[in-house]
Amino acid sequence: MRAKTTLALGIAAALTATGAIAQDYPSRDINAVVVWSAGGGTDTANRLILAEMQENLPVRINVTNRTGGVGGSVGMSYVFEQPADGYTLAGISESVVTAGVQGGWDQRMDVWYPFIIGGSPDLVSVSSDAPWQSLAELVEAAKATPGEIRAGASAAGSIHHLNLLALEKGTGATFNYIPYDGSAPAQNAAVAGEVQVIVTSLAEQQQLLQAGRLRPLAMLVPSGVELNGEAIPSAFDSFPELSEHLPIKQAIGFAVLDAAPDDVKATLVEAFDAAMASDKVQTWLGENYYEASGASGDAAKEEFARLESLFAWTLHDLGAASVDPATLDIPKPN
Amino acid sequence: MTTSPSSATTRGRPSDLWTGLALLLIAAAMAGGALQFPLRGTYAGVKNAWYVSPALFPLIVATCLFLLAVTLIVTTVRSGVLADRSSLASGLAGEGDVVLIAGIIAAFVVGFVPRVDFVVAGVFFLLAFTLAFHVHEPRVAKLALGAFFGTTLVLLLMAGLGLTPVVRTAAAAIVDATVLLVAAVTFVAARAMTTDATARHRLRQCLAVALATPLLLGIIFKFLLLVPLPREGLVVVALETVYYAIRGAF
Amino acid sequence: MSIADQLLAFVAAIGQLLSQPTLVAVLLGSSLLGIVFGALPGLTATLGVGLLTTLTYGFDLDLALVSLIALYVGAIYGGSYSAILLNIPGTAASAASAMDGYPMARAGEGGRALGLTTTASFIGTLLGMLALVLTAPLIVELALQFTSYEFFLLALFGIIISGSLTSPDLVVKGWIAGFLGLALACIGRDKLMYYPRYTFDLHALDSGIEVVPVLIGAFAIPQIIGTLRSKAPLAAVQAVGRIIPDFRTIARNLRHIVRSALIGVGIGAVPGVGEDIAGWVSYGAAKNGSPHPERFGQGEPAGLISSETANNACIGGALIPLVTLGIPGSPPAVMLLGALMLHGLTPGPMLSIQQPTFLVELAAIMVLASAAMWLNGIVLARQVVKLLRVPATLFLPIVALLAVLGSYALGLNITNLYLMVAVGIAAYVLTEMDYPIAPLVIGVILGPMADENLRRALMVSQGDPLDFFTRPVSLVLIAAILLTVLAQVPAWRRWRHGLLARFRRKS
Repeated sequence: MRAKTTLALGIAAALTATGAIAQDYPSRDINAVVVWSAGGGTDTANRLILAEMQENLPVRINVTNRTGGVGGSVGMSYVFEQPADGYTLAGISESVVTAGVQGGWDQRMDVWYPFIIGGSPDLVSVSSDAPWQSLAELVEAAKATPGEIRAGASAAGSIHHLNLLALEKGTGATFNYIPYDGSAPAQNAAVAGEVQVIVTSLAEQQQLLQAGRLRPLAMLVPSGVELNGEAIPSAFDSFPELSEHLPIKQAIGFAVLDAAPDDVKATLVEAFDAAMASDKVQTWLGENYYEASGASGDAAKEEFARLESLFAWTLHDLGAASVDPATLDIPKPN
Repeated sequence: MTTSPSSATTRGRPSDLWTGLALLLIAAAMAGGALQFPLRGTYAGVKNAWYVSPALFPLIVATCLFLLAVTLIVTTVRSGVLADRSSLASGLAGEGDVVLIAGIIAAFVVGFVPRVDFVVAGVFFLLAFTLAFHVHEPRVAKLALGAFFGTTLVLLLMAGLGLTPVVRTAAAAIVDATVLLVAAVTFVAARAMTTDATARHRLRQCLAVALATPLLLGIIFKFLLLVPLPREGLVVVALETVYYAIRGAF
Repeated sequence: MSIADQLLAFVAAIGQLLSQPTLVAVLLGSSLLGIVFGALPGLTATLGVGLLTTLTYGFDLDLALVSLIALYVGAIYGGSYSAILLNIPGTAASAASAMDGYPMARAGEGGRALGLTTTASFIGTLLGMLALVLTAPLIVELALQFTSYEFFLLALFGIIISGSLTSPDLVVKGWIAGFLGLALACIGRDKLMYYPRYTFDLHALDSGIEVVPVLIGAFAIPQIIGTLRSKAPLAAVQAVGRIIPDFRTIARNLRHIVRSALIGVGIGAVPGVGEDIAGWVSYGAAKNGSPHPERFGQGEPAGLISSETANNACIGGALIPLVTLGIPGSPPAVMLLGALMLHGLTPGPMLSIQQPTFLVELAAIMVLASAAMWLNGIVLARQVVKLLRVPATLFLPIVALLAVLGSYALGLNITNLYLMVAVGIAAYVLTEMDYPIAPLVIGVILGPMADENLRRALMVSQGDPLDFFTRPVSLVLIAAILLTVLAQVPAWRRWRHGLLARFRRKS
């Protein structure tokens, strides 16, 4: 019977392939699953680093996007259910740490062995026709009319929203927070004058800043930045108390399951380090105003644990967490 | 209802009354659900007022839907189609084929796709589907559908008992192989049932379509378009082995 | 640079591009791949551009750009194949093309319909390109006028159109289908507060209802069930008709083409709104402006031409804010932005300073991409029509398998398959009761946009709806909405007809 022969051959081939997994890693293409949609910051940075990494690996790394759920939970659940053999990676960013408390899945970040490419620092800017020339002026105006000045940022619980909240806490100002479905529409709204204040990352804003459509006031990180010859001061200079709440920085990168064998992790770390050191990645990070991180393993795990605790408890305090972080054993931020 | 849409009246049909009532229920349920959402008060750091509430839009939609349903019911009752005894029999009379086709697709999606290698699942699906509709032999159709729905039940039962094996293991390969075997046996049995040349010819067409399509689609999606398949078991892993062997040779 | 210099640079760029054989091969190949992506249900332009981003990583910028743009143009056009031949739009962008394209195919004019879309898409792409090169600064200012008010009104305008896609029996059924779509769109976390609505604690529903599986389910399943049940052939294939576009029809519909191109460019330039909405708005505008709205949906070439011109003109429109400000105008343009950044090119205001010739090169590439699309289209259409000769009992099961794979491909999410089947069965029942199904899809596309922007607009104005009437773009949109509503009122139509007739007699 032809069917039977085909069947027998198929099973033989499948078993050989299963056996092949035990050989040197990697022996077949690696599948990277980005949990955010195509074309976004996480997607682009991952496509770049993974493309550079495959130069140092004998196989290809295919990037796909598996979106949905909350905090990228659909993509993360998928990778979590795959065998821990290093052939499936998850492309993640700091925002995935909310998946647990928002009821997306019942795991914590410690199931991952992350690699952090870096992130772009957040800054606060105003529309070009807004009257305020410095953060101090803006804070003063906001204090005079609490909750009146409209500030745009991506949806509640996002990193930019958390930066805005920290800014309010550190300066005592209160804004009327208008949420948007992502940074891009929030920035467009600031350009059109729908909101006067905007908090997004430097990478996302740089083109609009250079076009003069937005006016930068202050970086929400300890050090200032120079953009096209113009200095953007740090918000910490005028409001030192901010250092208690900030910085909250992006952590864009990817992760392999922590349960993966050590040699797999070692191979990935080696390829990742080489890719991070490459000219192409360094140039790209610089041109797009990213701060390179390059952390992997324990350092990266620690960073994600810190972000997880911060995001989870902030959401909980805002009443927007559907799961109590305590039930997931997430420690309070110190 | 076997007539074409051209028989539609310009004044609605009796079934509109029932859909109208169903829509009323849907709209009411939707509004009821929306009233449970936060209507006022701050939520997630957003200053809330009636116009910011997540319930605003669902309430508008529910109200419109409710009014539209009322309009539909009133139009239907006024038009007098209800009095027309002969038209009462029409409406969505249960027709076997409709349920069958919907059932085949649903069984494939719910039973096979998450649990069986995509190519294997596709082969069985197309084989059953085409045998049922293309061969025009009631016995063949019955056999094919019986085997297909039977396998679906077994797969669902296994899933219910938590017996679905992890992908890319020997156990998963055995399940895939068994499903393929059932499909092969079904085809052989169907062949034994048919005697005339036309039916045999059609049977061969079914087999060709059922074997070639999933294999081609699988290869195109997986290796050309780089879209992973829903479940990559026996055949996909075999294809991978061949693919890497070829790539390794260059 | 003066216009003459630019023209010279443009011709030089085309010559330079065409002189590289590899580039021409990549151009034709990517265009073909794009058409395949568009024609297969579920594979969208966004997914295609994403795939090529990875594949072209090693290419130099010119080659990568040619490949990406050619695929984008091809994919937006390719969706019309399945829309016309099977009544299953390959992408949401070509859903409006099914309205008149499929009736044409049923009447044996499938070849003519494909020829018309090919030429309409070609002209649309070129007009979009012209808008990009000549009027970008002006259009970008207009597009940036769009705030939450305008976004809401635009969504409302699209929803109003659903009422004009009337069912064969009762007008109210179009509206019901549209509102059912809006109701479906309410499912999931709300975009402003992240509050879960109608998710019944199912995490799978948290991210809401995706458009692609709804589109595939709503169109493909009723078609599969309906055709197999009635045992009717798919379309009249004996008379394929001429594929070579009939330029007389094109010439006769010139005003539709120009209007649709303007609509396409405008909607493309508005950030976040893309080809899928452009097709519908243009179709609605054509229908409402036509003296014979009743012919639409029965195989009216003007309807097909309008939607196909607009969705391709949208490409040029979407590139306008991308090139001038680094803001992508449509979902595929988002992916394109990512791809350009990988190649070390950051579109935005600095681009014209760093690379003054970029815009001209981009225009040259778009011209070549549309030419490649036209060539591929003319060659391919003849072959594709032959597919209809395959017996429906063999062909439709294959379509069913494609529908399943297509619903999975975009989000790689099994839940979308269940959604596709559930929506499909519901859509079949609705179709049987003469509910038009297109408004449901429009509702799902526009629901989140209407919801989010209405609430945010009220948030900005602190609950004062009067702010809608104080903004210029707002007022234009309100006027358009009123006209559309009026066009559906019989008394207004009669009055306008009378007026037109009197006017004609005088001249």
